[in-house]
Amino acid sequence: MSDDSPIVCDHNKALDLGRGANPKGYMVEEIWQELAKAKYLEWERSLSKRSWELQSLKEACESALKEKHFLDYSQMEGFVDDATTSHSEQLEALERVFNTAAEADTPTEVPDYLCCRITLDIFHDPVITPSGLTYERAVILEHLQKVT
Amino acid sequence: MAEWRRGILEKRHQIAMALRVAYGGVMAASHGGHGGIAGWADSSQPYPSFSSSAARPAAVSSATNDGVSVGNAHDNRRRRSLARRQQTSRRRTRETDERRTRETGERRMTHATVTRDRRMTHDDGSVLAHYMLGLALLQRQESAKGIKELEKALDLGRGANPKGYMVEEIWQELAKAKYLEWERSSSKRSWELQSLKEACESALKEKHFLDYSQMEGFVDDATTSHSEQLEALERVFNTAAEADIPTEVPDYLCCRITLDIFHDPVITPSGLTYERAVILEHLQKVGKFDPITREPLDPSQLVPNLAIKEAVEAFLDKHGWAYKID
Repeated sequence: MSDDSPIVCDHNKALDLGRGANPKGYMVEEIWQELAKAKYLEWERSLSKRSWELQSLKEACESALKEKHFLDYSQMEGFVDDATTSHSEQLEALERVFNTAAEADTPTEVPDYLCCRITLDIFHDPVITPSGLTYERAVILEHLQKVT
Repeated sequence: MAEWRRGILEKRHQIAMALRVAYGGVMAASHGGHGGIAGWADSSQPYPSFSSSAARPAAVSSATNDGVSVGNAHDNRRRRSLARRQQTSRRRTRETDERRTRETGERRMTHATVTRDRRMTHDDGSVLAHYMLGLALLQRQESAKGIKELEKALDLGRGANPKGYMVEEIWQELAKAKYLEWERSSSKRSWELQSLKEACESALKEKHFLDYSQMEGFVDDATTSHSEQLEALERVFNTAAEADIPTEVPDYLCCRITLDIFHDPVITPSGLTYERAVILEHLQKVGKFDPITREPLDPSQLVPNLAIKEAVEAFLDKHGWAYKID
């Protein structure tokens, strides 16, 4: 948590206190919304810097490999097709490597096991039922209140 | 009804044939003369080897006894008499065998104990049949099919007896097979990554050298930029190789008692998750309380933690090295 801004730390504290007092209270939800917004903005700032650095490096590598291939190609007499195939495979592999490096910053689906089956949102305060299924505390409490 | 029975018989026949093809149709005797899979546990072989002098696995026998023809009548007669002789010798050796197993403290799975276990009937859903078939396929280098069979055996075994030693035995074999599979693919990936990394470094250095030779000033800046580029490239390739680098398994995927990755996690009312077999053993032998919070705990209060189980599966899919058993 050392990298977090003071605002994020304060929000975290407020959220913990709120959950202890009233887990399904609207204030807890309100605090969560603010905390999520602050953390998202923080991530977005650092992301743009990381993405730019990765993109620059990727372009530099591609350019260097192409240049090297061109130089090797000009010195070659035979095996041109093999070299071209190998070069294009190299560029594809490079693409995969950079995609893997950027994976953590690429928005994808949140895994099912981290999401509530009712809200379909990522868990904030998960609770488990006797059947082994996990739900968002506030949502399952609300459901039980309405049903019973 | 007849069609349904024919389907069952065909399925049994398939299992029997697969075992016969893989094992040469028969199983090596171990543990005082009755067919078993205990002997290989101590040997250096990765999977059991079978000789032609001993009995066939029960899964195969049942298929034959059900009227599925797997050879000529003479063979069948010989097999039946051999089975009868073995049953007699098995009865005689059972007590000795159990005493020996108790004394040495071994929990090896023998053929006799498995066939005696009432939970494991020799039908299509037999734990033993799937387990044996899985081992057979693995021995034939058909790892994908073998792993599938072992997974089926594990699911069935867990349903029958979650804290049984057989479940542990199956898990060990499955983990070994998956680890070997990961090792093969990982070494290939590592080699490809290393080659690409070297090619990129070499190309960048060459480019830098060409640019450097054409430059008049700003040499220091270019050198700094180049070394930063190489450092960044190193980081990128390290990130790409991360999934294949063995590290610590996260705490939330490990049992607090065994400190091992979960196989069958259950959660207690206090919110702590344990390995099912281990917590059941604790409740049975030590006392009916949570080992960490010391709160009263009954086996009926244990709830399967399906989310953690899914998380473990996802982690193992991505990090095959975590299958390694020390």
